Order: sequence, then C-alpha cells, then structure tokens
Amino acid sequence: MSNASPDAAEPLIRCRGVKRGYGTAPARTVALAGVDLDVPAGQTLAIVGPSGSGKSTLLHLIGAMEIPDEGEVRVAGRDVTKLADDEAARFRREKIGFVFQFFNLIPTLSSLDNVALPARMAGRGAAEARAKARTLLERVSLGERAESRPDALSGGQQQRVAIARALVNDPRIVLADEPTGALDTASGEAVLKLLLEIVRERGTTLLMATHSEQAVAHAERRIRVEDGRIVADERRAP
Amino acid sequence: MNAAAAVLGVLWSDLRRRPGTALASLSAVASGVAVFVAILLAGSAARSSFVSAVQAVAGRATHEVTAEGGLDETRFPALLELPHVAAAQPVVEGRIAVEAVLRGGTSVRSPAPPLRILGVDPFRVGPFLGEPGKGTAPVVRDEDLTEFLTDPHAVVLPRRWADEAGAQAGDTLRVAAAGQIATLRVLAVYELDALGEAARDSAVIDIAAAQELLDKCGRLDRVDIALDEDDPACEAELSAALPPGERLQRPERRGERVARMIDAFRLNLLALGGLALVVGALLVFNAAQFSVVRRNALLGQLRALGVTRPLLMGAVLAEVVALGFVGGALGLALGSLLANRLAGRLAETITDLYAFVQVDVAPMTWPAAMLVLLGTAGVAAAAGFFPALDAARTPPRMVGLRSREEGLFRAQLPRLAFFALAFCAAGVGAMNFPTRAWWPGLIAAFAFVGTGACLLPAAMALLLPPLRKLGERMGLLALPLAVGALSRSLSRTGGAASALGVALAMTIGVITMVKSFESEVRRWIDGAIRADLFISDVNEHLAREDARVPNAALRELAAMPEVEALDTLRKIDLAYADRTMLFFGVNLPTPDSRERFEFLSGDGPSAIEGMLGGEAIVSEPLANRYNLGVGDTLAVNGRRGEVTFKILGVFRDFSYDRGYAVTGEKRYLEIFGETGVRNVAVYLKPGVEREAAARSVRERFAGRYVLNVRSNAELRGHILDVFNHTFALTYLLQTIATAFALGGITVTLFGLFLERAREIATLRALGSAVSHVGRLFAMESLLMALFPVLLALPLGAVLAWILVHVINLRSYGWSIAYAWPWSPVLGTCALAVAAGLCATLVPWALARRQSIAGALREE
Amino acid sequence: MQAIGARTFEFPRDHGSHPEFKTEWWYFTGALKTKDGGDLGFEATWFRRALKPASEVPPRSSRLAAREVFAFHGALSDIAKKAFLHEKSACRAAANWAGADEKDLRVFLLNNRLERGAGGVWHLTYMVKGHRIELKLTPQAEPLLHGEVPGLSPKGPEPGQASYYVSMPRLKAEGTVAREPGAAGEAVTGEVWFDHEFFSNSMPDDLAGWDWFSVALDDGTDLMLYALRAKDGSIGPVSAGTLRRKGQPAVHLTREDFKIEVQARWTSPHTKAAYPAQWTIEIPKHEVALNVKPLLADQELQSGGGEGVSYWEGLCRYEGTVGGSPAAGNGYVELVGYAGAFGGKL
Repeated sequence: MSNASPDAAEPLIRCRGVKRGYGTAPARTVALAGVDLDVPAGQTLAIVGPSGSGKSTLLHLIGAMEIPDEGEVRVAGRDVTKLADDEAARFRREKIGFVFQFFNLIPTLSSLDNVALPARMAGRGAAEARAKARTLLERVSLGERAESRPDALSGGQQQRVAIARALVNDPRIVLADEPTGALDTASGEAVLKLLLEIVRERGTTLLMATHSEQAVAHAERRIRVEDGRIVADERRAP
Repeated sequence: MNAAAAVLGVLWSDLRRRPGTALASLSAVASGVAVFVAILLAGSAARSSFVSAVQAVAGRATHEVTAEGGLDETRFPALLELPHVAAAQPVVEGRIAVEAVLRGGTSVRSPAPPLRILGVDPFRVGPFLGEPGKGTAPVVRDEDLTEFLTDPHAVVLPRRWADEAGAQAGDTLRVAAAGQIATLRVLAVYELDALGEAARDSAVIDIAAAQELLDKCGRLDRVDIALDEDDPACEAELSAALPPGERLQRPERRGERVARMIDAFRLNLLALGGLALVVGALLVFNAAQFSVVRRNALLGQLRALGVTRPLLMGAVLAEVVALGFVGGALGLALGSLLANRLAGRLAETITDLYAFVQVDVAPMTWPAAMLVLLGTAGVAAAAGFFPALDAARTPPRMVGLRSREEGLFRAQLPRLAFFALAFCAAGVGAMNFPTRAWWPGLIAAFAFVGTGACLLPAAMALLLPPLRKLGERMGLLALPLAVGALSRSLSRTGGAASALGVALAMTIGVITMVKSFESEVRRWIDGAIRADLFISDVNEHLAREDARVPNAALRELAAMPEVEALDTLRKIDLAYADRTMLFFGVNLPTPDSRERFEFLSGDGPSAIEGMLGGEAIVSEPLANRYNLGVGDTLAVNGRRGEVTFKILGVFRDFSYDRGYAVTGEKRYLEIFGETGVRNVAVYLKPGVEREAAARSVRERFAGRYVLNVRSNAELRGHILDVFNHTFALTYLLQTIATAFALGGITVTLFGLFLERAREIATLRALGSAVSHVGRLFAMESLLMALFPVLLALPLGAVLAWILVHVINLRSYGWSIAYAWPWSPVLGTCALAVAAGLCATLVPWALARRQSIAGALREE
Repeated sequence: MQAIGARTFEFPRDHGSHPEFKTEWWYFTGALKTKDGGDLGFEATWFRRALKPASEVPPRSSRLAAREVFAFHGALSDIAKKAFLHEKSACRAAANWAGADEKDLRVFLLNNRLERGAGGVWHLTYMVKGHRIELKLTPQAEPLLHGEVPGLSPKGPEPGQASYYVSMPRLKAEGTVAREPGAAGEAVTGEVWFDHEFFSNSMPDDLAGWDWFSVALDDGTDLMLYALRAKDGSIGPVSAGTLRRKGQPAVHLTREDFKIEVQARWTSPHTKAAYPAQWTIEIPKHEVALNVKPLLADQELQSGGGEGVSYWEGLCRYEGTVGGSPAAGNGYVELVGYAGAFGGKL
C-alpha cells in the first residue's frame, strides 16, 4: 500500500458526493445527502448543525467506521471506504484519534492504561506505551491521577484523559464528536481550550462536531450541516 | 394497589426492553424444573407399576396368602375353611416372552411384547365366568370353558395386548417360558374392564396350564382372599389360624415390598434431579441479582418518585416469583414430555437390575403440579429475597451511577461468605450425623454444593484483581480487559460460574464414583466368574422368579463328555424385614467353584464347608443393610415357618444391591422346596476349549430351550455391559444438568457482550480489529469456564468421596475403594472450557457485523 | 360308555365314581328332627361331569389339570324358622380339591365331603351359607335298584337315554346341624334318602323337566316316583317309580301304575316360576294314596347367574294310606324345568 499521495495537491481529507442513509424505505432517513468537503492538514474545523443533521455521520465516515452509500472519502491519499476490517482498524489506530461525547473510557482500566491502550493495540511495548501515555497525561494536567479509574474522575477529567488517549499514537487527525456535550460550561470550556491547544501544538487536524458556541468561536473554519448538506462554510484566521 | 400496578408496569416495560436476560432465566428455571419433574414422574411411575402389577384378581379380594417358595396346591381346600374367608382364588403367575404370533402357520408379529401369565381357577370367585351384578363380560365365556380347562395351551388374551400385537382368537403364540419353547392357542380375547387396568398385559390361562408352562407344578404362587369382613380383627384372626410359613397380607404390601427394592435407586436419581433444580435456582438467583443491579438507576428513580421500600421490594419479589411460576409451568410441560422419554430408559435399567417393569407415565395430578409450581415460585422467591432487599435499599435519586452498581454486589460478598460457612457447617454436621441411613450423605452433598456455590463468586472477587495485576505485569493486553469485564459484572458472572461449577463438580463426583465402582467390579469379576460356561434363561430379565434351566437340559449337559461338573444355582425372593432379599442354594461341586467367594470376614474354607452343610454366608450389601456379621443368626421364613442360619462369612458382591444369603443345596431344598435351577455354571474337563464347548451346547439346545449359553469371557463382557447401561442414565441426567449450566454461562457471556457493545465499539474506534475483539471474548469465556473448573475439581472430589463412602455404602451396601480418574475428569473440564469458547462464537460474529458508529451512537 | 342293558352292581364299589360315564350324581336328601322336635330338611348333592372323554385328554403333569368338573348343591330347610338356605359351588376334580373314589364311596368338593368310614358308617359334612352340617349315616336296608331291569332307569325312548340308578333309602342319620352361621351344631336325628345315578347320554329333546318324589314312610314303605314332563305338558311314557313295602321285594312302577294330581301352585318371588305346590299321589294297584304338601313354600335353589339351573327341592309332608293303613312321613320332592329351560344340564 502506498502512503504517498500521487496528487501532491490533494488535501488531507477529501469527501466527494458522499451520501449516507439509514434504515430502509419508507422509514429511511438520510444523514448525508451529497457532501463535498476538503480539509487541509492542520486545520481545526467545527461542524455545526441541528441534531440529526449528519454531523456525527460525517465524522464516522472519515474515521472509516462507516461506509458511505455513494461517494468517495479519501484520507491522507487513501480511499477509506474500501478498507477491510483489519486495514480500517490499523488506519484508525495510526491516523485517527477519537474523542467522544461520553468519553467512552474503559471503566476497568486506569487513566494511564486507557491512554496507553491504543498504543498497545498498535503493537508498542507496555513500557513504551505507558511512558508515552504518562507524558500525555501530564500534558493534560492529570499526571497525578494516572492510576485512577474513570469512575473516580470528574467528567472534565475523563474527557481530558480521552483527549490524551486520542493523541497517544500521534494521529494526523482527531475526530471529536460533541466533546463538551456531557460537560458543564466551565469544564467544557477548559476541555475545549486544552484540545485546541494541543492539536495546534502538534499540527494535528481537528474535526469537531459541536453545538458549543465557544468551540465554533475557537475553530479556524466552520461548516454548517443541515438536512445532510453543507449549507455554510466559513473560514477565519486563527 | 394502583401504586403497585404502576411500579410493576414500569418494571415490566423495562423487562420487555431487554427480554434476553428474562428469557435466559426463564429457560433456566424451566429446564431445572423439567429435569426434576421428569425424574419424579418417571421414577414414581416405575415404582407404582410394581405396586399396581400385584393387584388382586379375585374380584373382592383384599388379601392374599403366600408362602416363601409358593404354597402347596393341596393347601387350598383348607384355606377356604379358615375363619372369615369368604372367597379365595388360587393364582400361579409369571412372565413369558412371546417370540411370535402365528396365524395359519405364518408369523404375523415377531417378536411380540411380553405377557404376564395369570393362571387362575375359573370356578373360584372372580370375574372369570362373570360375576353376578357386574356388567362386565366374563374373561372366560361359557362356551370356551371346556377348552380353557382341558387344553393345556389355551389362553385368553387381554384386549390391549391383542390389539398391540395384532393377535386374535384362533392364533398361536410361540412363547419362551421357564427356559423352554412352548406354544399357546388363543382361545379368545377378553375386555379389560373385567380385570381392570392392571391386567392389561395379563394372559389368563388355567391354573394347571400355568403350573406346567412356568414349571411350577404342585405350587401356587398365592391365594387371593376375600374376607367376609375387611377389618383388622378378622385379619388378625385369620392370620393366627394360618400354619407357620404362610402369611396373610394385603397385595399392596407385597407390591410395596417389591417397589422398595428400587427406592434407593430412584432416590439417587431424584437427587440428581434435585441437582438440576439447584443449578436452576442458582441461575434464577443470578437473574434476580442482575436485574436489580442492572436496574439500579431505574429503582433509584422510582424511589425518588415516592415508591416506598416495601412496595419496591414487593414488586421486585413479585417479578421474580412470576418468573418462577412461568418457568415452573413451562418446566412442568417440558418435564412431562421428557418423562415419557426417560421412562423407557428407566424401565430398561430397572429391568436389568431389579425386575421386569414396563413404565407408563401417568400425567401429573393437579395437586402435584400445583406443588411443583409453588415450590418453584418458593425457590425463586428465596433466590430473589436478597436482591429484592437490595432493591428496597436503593437510595432515591434521579440519575444512576454505574459505578455504584457493582458496589451493591460486592456488599453481598460477606453475606455469601457467611452462607458458605453455614453450608459447610451443615455438611460437616450431616456427615457426622449418627445414623446408618444414607440421606445425611445426600444432605451433606447438597450442603457442600451450596458451600461451593456461595464461595465461587467470593473467590472470583478476591482472585480477579490479582489476576489482572498479573496480566498487566506480564504485559498482556487482553487479560486485564477481560478480567476487568468479568469483575465489573460479578453479580452475573459469579452466579453463572457457580451454576457451572456445581454442575461440573457433580459430574466429576459421579464420574469418579462410577469409575471407582467399575474398577472394583472388574476386580470382583475376576474372582467371582470362574466357571467355563454360564447357562441361564434367556428371559431372565422378564421373570426373575420363573427363570429356569429345565431339568432336561441339565441332564443333557451333565451327560456331555466335555463337562466336568455343573455348579447349579437355585434362587428365591424372600420377604425380609420390610423389603425383599434373595436366598441362594448352591452345590459348589469343584474346588475351583469354592474359590469364587471373596470373603470380607469369616474364614473362607471353613465358611464354605459350613455353608454347604446347611449354615449360611451373606453378601456384603445384606450384611451392611441389616447390620449382620459373622456369628450372627439369620432368620428367614421358609415354606414351613421360620428357619435360622448361623452366618459364617460375609463376601463381596456387586450383583444384587438387595443382598442375599447362600446356603447348601440340600438345606435350601428342605426349606423352600424345589424352586427350579435358575442358572448353572459349567466346569469343563481340562483341555476342552471354552468357545468350542459353548458352540456345541448352543447347537445342541437350539430350537428346544431358550437358554443363554455364555462363555466365561462373554459373561464378563455382559456384566460390564449391564454396568455401563446402568450408569448411562446417570450420565444422561448429568449431561443435561451440565448442558444447561453451560447454557447459563453462554447466556451470561452473551448478555455481557451485548451490553458492552459500546465499549467494544470504542475499542474498535480506537483501532482494535475484530480479531482482537474475538481474542478478548475468548479470554473472558476462558476465565468464565476456568473458575468453575477450579471449584469443580475439589468439590467434585468431595462429592465423589461422599457418593462412594456414604451414599453408595449406605444405600446399596457396596464398599468400594476411591479411585480418582484423571483423564475423564480433565476431559470433562476441557469440554466445559471448549463449550465456553464456543459460546463466544455468536457474539463474536455479531460484533463482526456490528456497525461501530451505530453502537457508539446508542446510549 | 352308556347306560344300556343290565349291569351287575357290586357295593360298595358301585357307590363310587364311574368316570367312564359322562355324568354322575350323589344325591342326599333327608328329613331331620332336632331334640325339641323341630323339622329340618337338607339336600347335599355332588355332581360329576366329564369335560372330555378320557381318550381326548392329553397326559398332563399338573395335578390340577381338569378332566372332570364337580358341582355341589347344598341346602338346609329350617321349618320352624321358615328359613331355606342353599349354596352351589363347582370345582375341578383335581388333587384334593374335588373328586370321587372309584372303588368305594368317597366324594368331595373342597370341604363338602362324604366318605364311607369304618364299620360301614358314612360321614357327610358340608357347609351351606356358614351353617355346618355333620351327619353320620348308617344304612338300614339293601340298595334299591330302580327300573324294570334292576338299576337301569330309562329317561327317553332311545337306547342309552337312560341312567343307572340306585337308591339307599332310610339311611339312619345322627349328627349336628348349625342353625345359625358359624354356630355350634345342634344334635339331630333323622332319615336320609341317597340317590346315585350315572349316565352318558343327554336327555331327550322334548323333555321339559321332571317331578321327583321320594319318601320313607313310618310304616316302613319306601317310595320313589318320577314323572318326566314333555314340552307339551304331558307326562311321558317312561316315567316310573319304585315301591318297596316293609319286608317285601321292590316293585317297579310304570307310568300306568300311578297317578299324580297337582292340588296347588306357588309362584317363586325369585324366578317368577310357577311351581306345583301340593299333590295327590295314587297307586291303585298297590293301594297307595298320599297327599303331599311342602313344609315350606320357598325351597327353590336359584342358579347364581347365567350358569346352572334353578329348581325346587324341598322337604314335604307325605300323609295318606298304604294298604288301607295310615302312613305318613317327611320326604322330598324335586321339581325341575319350571324356571326356564333346564337344557339337560345340572
């Protein structure tokens, strides 16, 4: 498999004519009704729109967790819609970091192990993975809670662990689905700041589905999705 | 009332949303009850068929006069003169095999079902010539009477049998009776209402013909008596008027005596059924526990909405009890179906071991069914009590915290530890209960099972965290994840593991018992089976009492040049205490034949000498059952009253759990009369080849006698076959219990996986391939099977010890050495582990197809 | 074998069984008196019937194998108590269950037995409905051989439609009779009439039944009469009797010698059969005129159910004159064929 993009001009993420629906007629709902989107490397992008407009679906498609009904999704020069399961898993492991609304930490693992988990899955040794995880936990100011279980942490802390986890394999892209949705305003703001800080530090591309005004305000680019289509695309200087 | 309905409504809607666990526990209850009910029904049907088979045939008869070895036929007129005898019917009966039904020389059915021969005197009171005032047709019609009386082959068949065998008046039956081939001529077919349901396979023939057919000339098996007044005073007066050796009793009592023969066997089976119930109860407990834990949030919300503690507890209990009822009802239906299948197996085994029986399962009576339902609901209520209490203690709140849920279960662990201790104490207590009865052994077994069942979740709670640490230290990725998943759901995994552990332990216990038994039996066979050929009635299983090696056959054998000596055995069933025992008369003609007894106590050679001279030696089960030993006196009833023997020795025996005594042929004949040679062991002249001699005897006897001629090796094989056949049923039940314990594990794992769909999806989102997920599942199920195995090995060893040294010894009287059979035990464990792994295949396949995004989206 | 031609009787051998004949009976009827003068009557009869000719029966090893069947009819009439008891039983001739000696007088069915004992005394023991009757019978006279050919009693027109028929009238009876079930016996004395018949052929087709009379009168006269009734009600030509006056040889009576007239009838409440119930008997040639009257109306032996025949057999008072002198006595009458067809079997 060639990692090098044949077309040097191709952006990191390229969606063309992406359509995705759920269920079967007549109860079929259309999540994406033909989306074209290019995201260059390093960009921070906020995706807004009402509930059910297709924000999450767009993220899942880019993360190779779903396959579009039609259209093309290319990430880092590869068509992710054609990946077999283990290829997709490897792609996610290496190229993508996820941050979920409800954190989705493995409840039985400590913060450290949660963060180290994707690194371990990527085949790194336990010591190496843990060292990396510890660095990241310190970066999100949770170095002293490394041995705590998720249920001993506040929501904001859990989401910070999740952010650390998303970055442990140095992904090129972080996909965040409502990262502040389960948090109160104050901790939401903190988490958001941290997330943006870290991705900018590392030059990581961030796609973030959100309702949060702050999130939108801090992102370089904002697209608005309604009824499965991109109805607005605004950029502003960082 | 409204509040209760509302709460139940909420619980019900929640249940409907997740029917999986409810269905799983329902099937657990149903299968437990089904197995138990099946054993109960089949077992009691077998027992009652012994009792009903002995119903009186003399119309109003309520009593019978019997004597060991039969009554002399000339006693009959005198019996009629005794006080209070209003009517009497002499009876000669037995069982015969029907080789073919012939019509005009061609066979229309071969073989046909066996028949009971009911030899009667049609002139005596009873329905044979039609009783005045009874609307039933007579068994023997006027026009048939002369033929019935004068044709020694004339038989009147019961309608049911005739229809089943396709026989009709005018046909001929080729039968095997008393070791010989005979023909019977079907004179007529009688309707069942004449003799009642018990006679459904009773072929009525003249009493003289019955004596001839069954080789019982000169003897009556019994005389049915109708008393002029059926009260105890009359009974006592008549009883007192009987000469020594004759006994007045109600026929049911004889049936009871015979039925008691299989009691230990039946109760052992029932105990196995009880085990199925225990496994079922564990799974119910598991389900109740889980439903409370899982709905912790819901319960908290209900409390917040003002539902009182008692109401909540009541609602949760009601739910579990309803589960018990529905599961019980399903189990009843399933059990009744299963009982019919089981009955056939049971009948075969009982026929092999004790006496011929045909089992028709009667449907369960309503009161019994209600009892089972209430019992099931009770067990469910007991299983649900503590979970319901926990439900009531749920603090009111609006949002459930998952983290708290397992804390609830962990709070139970001290309680479980306490119960484990209590069960253990009960078990130890039962073991030391001062009695020779075998039931404390059973109680102990169940108590230790309870100990294990309580201990395992606690052990898991204790052992899982270190295991996880170990996994982390070893750098294993899946192990900590798997351990984490199990320990997080200990409320479910604990109970399911207990159920499997208990089932496995019982399996291991039974296997160990059977294997120990088998090696003992093999050793015993080597000593006891010494002769070269063994000859017995082919139909011995049909008619223990009437099996014969005909005298003519004995004479022919004795005259064969190859034959050195005949070791003949006479055998009689005796009433002894409240059950039956056997008495053997032997001649032991060669030095070798005297070696076949392995004495446990007494001086062998002198005991044999004294026994042949008229004293007795007794088998170990008899000695154990009645606490007899060397030097004691054995008193039994002979045909002329009580006789006593000095016991000179106790020998090992595995052939009859009822136990028997042996005396010399001469004394036997004095006491019981000529009851016929039951089987004969042939010693061949030196140099004669066994198999060749067996062939030559078979050829000589062919077409005339229906005798089994077995060489030494064949008889050994046959005994082991019967042995294995016997335990086939035990294994079957065991397999059922284990199978649904495994089913419990499967369902639990399945639930666990389904519930973790989001976690699995997260793992996959983080880059875990489906194959990794499969490995994780495998690890979990491996652990879920390993813990039960860890419990089952020691618990199984304890149960086996109890089975071998307490239950077997006390209920059957067999002392056997404990032998631990590694390979079948480990095989069983491996099988459980393999089955656990298989249980992951479906969830894994589901996970493969699951959409990650879909699973993440759900909350 | 059939009852054809003269037979040389030899006693006691001929009191015993004759298995070469199909049917045989030993018939005891007696008039007894208790110490206080109460009248009792009894009947004790053993019937023997061969099931099959000996040649058709295979040899059997069981001693219970049946070639013959015995029946026993026992009755007791207690005139003072107006009680009539009867009981029937049947049993195969086998072992000690039932049978009869071929050499001597010994016949038994279970516990109902008659046996000639030492000193020529006969012991008769039987039970009827729990009443035990035990009598010692002492013969007082020579056997009475009935028929024109002594001992051969024709029953129909064909040869072989006959029986060998011997009576022993006037057996002196002494013994006990229990008058309550299970009670101790009361001492009784009396006279007993013994009939013994054996034959093989069945009765003629048009035979409807018979009336049989027997009495030992106080003047020493013994009288037996039987009237064979045809289906048309007439009295058949072979009806006959025997009269033996004291100290004289027996005289055979033919149909023409006697006249029997029915004076009254009685209808059985049990079988609804109408039986004659009073008679006058005249034997003009021998100056016998007797009035016969039952001492108890209901002395009917009902058959148990389908099997057997109902008939009337009872103690009667015979009163009248013999040779001009008064004579009386208690005797028996048997009336067969009134309660349905008797079908030739007993």
